[in-house]
Amino acid sequence: MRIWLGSWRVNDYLARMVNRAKWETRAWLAEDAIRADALTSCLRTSSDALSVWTCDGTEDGWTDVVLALMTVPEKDTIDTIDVVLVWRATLESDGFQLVQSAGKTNVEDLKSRHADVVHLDAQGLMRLAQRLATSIADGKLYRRFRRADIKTILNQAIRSQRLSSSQLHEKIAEQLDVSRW
Amino acid sequence: MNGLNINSADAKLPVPLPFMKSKSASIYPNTDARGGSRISYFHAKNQLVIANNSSYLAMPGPYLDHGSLVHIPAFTITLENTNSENVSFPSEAVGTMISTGLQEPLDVDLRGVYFVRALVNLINNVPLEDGCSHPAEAVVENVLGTAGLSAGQWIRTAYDEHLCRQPGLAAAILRIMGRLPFHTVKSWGRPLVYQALHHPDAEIRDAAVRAIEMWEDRNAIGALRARVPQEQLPWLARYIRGVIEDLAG
Repeated sequence: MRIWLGSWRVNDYLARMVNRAKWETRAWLAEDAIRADALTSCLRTSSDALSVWTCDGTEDGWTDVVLALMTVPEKDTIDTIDVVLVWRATLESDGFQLVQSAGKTNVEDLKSRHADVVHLDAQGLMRLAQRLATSIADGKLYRRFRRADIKTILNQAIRSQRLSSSQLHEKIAEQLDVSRW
Repeated sequence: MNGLNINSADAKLPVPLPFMKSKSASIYPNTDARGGSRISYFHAKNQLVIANNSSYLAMPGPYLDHGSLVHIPAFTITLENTNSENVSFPSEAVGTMISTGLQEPLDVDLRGVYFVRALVNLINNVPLEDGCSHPAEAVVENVLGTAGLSAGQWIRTAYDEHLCRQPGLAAAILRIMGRLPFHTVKSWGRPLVYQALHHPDAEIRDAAVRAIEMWEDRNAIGALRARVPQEQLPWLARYIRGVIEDLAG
C-alpha cells in the first residue's frame, strides 16, 4: 500500500532523530550488530507507527528538520541532537507504508512535512533499523547538531517570523534568552 | 521466635534466613537529626540487605513510590539465634559490609539507599529523550538541595554501581547531571565527568561531553583537547572539537 504523495515528491528523504551513541556496538556484540537499546530508544513506535519528517537533503532541509523536531510541545530542553536521513524510495521499495500526517511542530509551514511509517511489525522495525544503520555509517546522511547550532536555528526562525518566541517552551525560551527579541 | 523480630507497624517482615541458628544479635537503628534511619546496610539485587557483623536479612522491595522517596520508619530489628560461622552473603551483593560491635547503631544514612533505588527505577522506567526533561532531574535537584554533598556521593554510588553492568544507565545519570545547574554539581560532578571522557564505552564518553556542553564549563577545554587525539570514533571526535569551539567562542 502506498499512500499519499503529490507535492511531497520533492522531499526525497525521511528524517529521524536518533541517539548516535546507541548505534555504536558493544564489545560483547558483533561488530555490525544493532543494539537493542538503539531500537527501543531511537525507534519507539506508537500504534505501530514511527514518526518521521521529510527532508530534501539540502542545508535548509536539514535545518528545517531540526526546527520541526525542536518545536514540538514535548521539547523543553535544548540538547545536542542527532538526525539521520534515509532515502524515501528505498523504504518504499522495501514495502514500508508511509502516510502523511500533521506534525505537532509550532512552525506552521513545517506541519505538512511530517509522516508516519505505519503498520510496522517487529521484523519491519528491524529492517528499518538496518536502513538507519546504513545511513549512519554513510557520513553524508547523518548529522549531529550541537546546542549552539540549535540555538542559532531557533533564533533564525524567530527572526524570520516563522516562529514566535511565545510558541517556545518557556525553558527553551529561557535558554535562548528570547527577551532580546 | 527463632529468627528475628521487627518492631514497627510500617516495616515489611522479611523471612528468617536459614543460617540464623544460635547466636543472638541485635541492631538498634535510631533516627538521626534529619529523620533518616541509621543502620548497617548494603544493597543487592532488588533487595535492601540489612546486616550486622554476623548476620544479614534481606528486605525485598519495592521502596519506590512513583518516583518519590518513601518514608523510612524507625524500627528495631533483633536477630536471634544466629551463628556467625554459617553467615553467607549473596554473590551479587555490592557495597561494603560494615563491621561493628553488636547492639551499636551504625552511621549509615538509609536515605542514600532509597535515593539510589528511586533514581535507578526512574531511569529504567522513563527513557531519557533528547530535548525532553526527565523526571529524575527534579528528584536529583531536590535531593541535592536538601542533602548537599551526601547526595553527590549517592549519585556517584549509583553511577559507579552501573558503570560496568549497565553503561547505558550510567550514561543517563551523567546526562541528568549535565542538565542540573552547574554550581550544584560542580565540586563532585566535574571530576566524575572528566574521568568519564576516557571510559571505553562510547555512550559514557558521549554523555560526558554532553554534560560539559550543557554546563558550558570553559575549564573543561583542556580536558576535551586532551581527549581529541585519543578519540577513535570520528563522529565523537568531531563533536568534541565542536564543543571546544563553542566553549572557546
